[in-house]
Amino acid sequence: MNVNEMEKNLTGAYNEAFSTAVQYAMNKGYTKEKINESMSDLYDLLLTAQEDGRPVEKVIGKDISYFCKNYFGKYSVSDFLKSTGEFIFRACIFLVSWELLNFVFYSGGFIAYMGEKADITPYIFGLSIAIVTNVISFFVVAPLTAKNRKAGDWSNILLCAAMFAAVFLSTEYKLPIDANVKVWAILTILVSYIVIYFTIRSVIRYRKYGTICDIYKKAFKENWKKAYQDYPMQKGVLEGWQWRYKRLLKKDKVTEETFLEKLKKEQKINIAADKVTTVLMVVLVLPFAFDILRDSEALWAGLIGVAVFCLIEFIAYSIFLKPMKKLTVVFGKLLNECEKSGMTMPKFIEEKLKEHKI
Amino acid sequence: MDNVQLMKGVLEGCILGIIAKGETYGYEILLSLEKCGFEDVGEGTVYPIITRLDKGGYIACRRAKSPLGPMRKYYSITPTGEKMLEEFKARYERITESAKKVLYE
Repeated sequence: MNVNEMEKNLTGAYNEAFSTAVQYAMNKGYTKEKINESMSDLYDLLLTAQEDGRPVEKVIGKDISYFCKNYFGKYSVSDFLKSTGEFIFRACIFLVSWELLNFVFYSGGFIAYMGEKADITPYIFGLSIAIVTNVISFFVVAPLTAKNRKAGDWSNILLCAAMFAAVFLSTEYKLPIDANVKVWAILTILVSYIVIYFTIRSVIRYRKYGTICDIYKKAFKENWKKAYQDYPMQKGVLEGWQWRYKRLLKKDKVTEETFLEKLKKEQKINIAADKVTTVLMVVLVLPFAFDILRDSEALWAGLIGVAVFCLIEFIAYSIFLKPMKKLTVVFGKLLNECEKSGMTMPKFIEEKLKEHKI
Repeated sequence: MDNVQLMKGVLEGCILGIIAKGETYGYEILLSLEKCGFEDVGEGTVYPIITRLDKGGYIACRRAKSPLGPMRKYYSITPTGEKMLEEFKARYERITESAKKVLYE
């Protein structure tokens, strides 16, 4: 879901209203598709209002809490079934992947592995904890978020912490019954659910949109670069360019007319560097991670090692690569805009910074 | 008795009336309502009404990319919607006439 990208294009009160509505919908447990559809409508509305300079109160009313409750409508049985269905679908995919990973490190063959018995206690506990978390999120966190965003965010954090603590503590508990089931039975149930859910979802989507794809996700992927603004980042880039231009001008390394060409050349290098860095991260870090998994005596120790490496890679990606990619998009947009305007780059920077949004 | 309660009864018909004038979208509907004097109506009120009209088959919805990038829903009235609008107009006239008699005569 790219609602985070939508948020970046909205400023001030528009951003606040949008992000509150997103958080409310997530806490209520609506399906990803419903959230994508509703937030896409709301994003279009708020973006148009922002471009028009229309106050947020005129668009969504004065009370965000009232707006959230009414905008998404009453949470119906159908919403509950869709949301639960989607949650179980994702859980099944995770569990099938887990079982396949177990098989990779099993010393016997496939038939022998299918005949092994697995303790389903973790499955039962995991599902119970997830249901309790969803209920608390629906009845407590969602309405709190609509009333007070900060209080809602904090309660989300506390709820996540409580959920992880419960999962951790539950690993020590064994059910007082024989909860061992053959692996083939577990996999049959999981795979059957995945196939049935996927088929039903595809049929519903096809009847509604004429395609089995999530049209909002697809449309947004195609358009986010076109629509992506991120005004704070634009301001930072323009001020940086302005400062560089003055420095280079003093040293006679650039003129007003040639500054744009210089920046365009640097942009090409940035795009190439982006791609190389992404490939390097995947090629260098992941093999290290899987080496640990292969050499580990205990599967769980290996998995923890892999998880730590993936976490480091994710953090590195979020801190360095993702902002770099966004910076590249912002650079590109500004350079194109300058070229189309026919102004020199220093003049364009001045005019752009004067605009009321920056 | 505040405006909100009075408005709730007529808003659905008024929104249908706006859509009947030509294909339109959410923001434009809000602007049209404001121009006609419905100043305190926000998207939180309009959106559920539009959803109800859509589910009831009174309006048709077409998805297209907006000029600013995101997907946008464009609404147009259906024959069922036109019939409903005529019925609403007739009911509204009857009720207004009766209310005028009670309040002003």
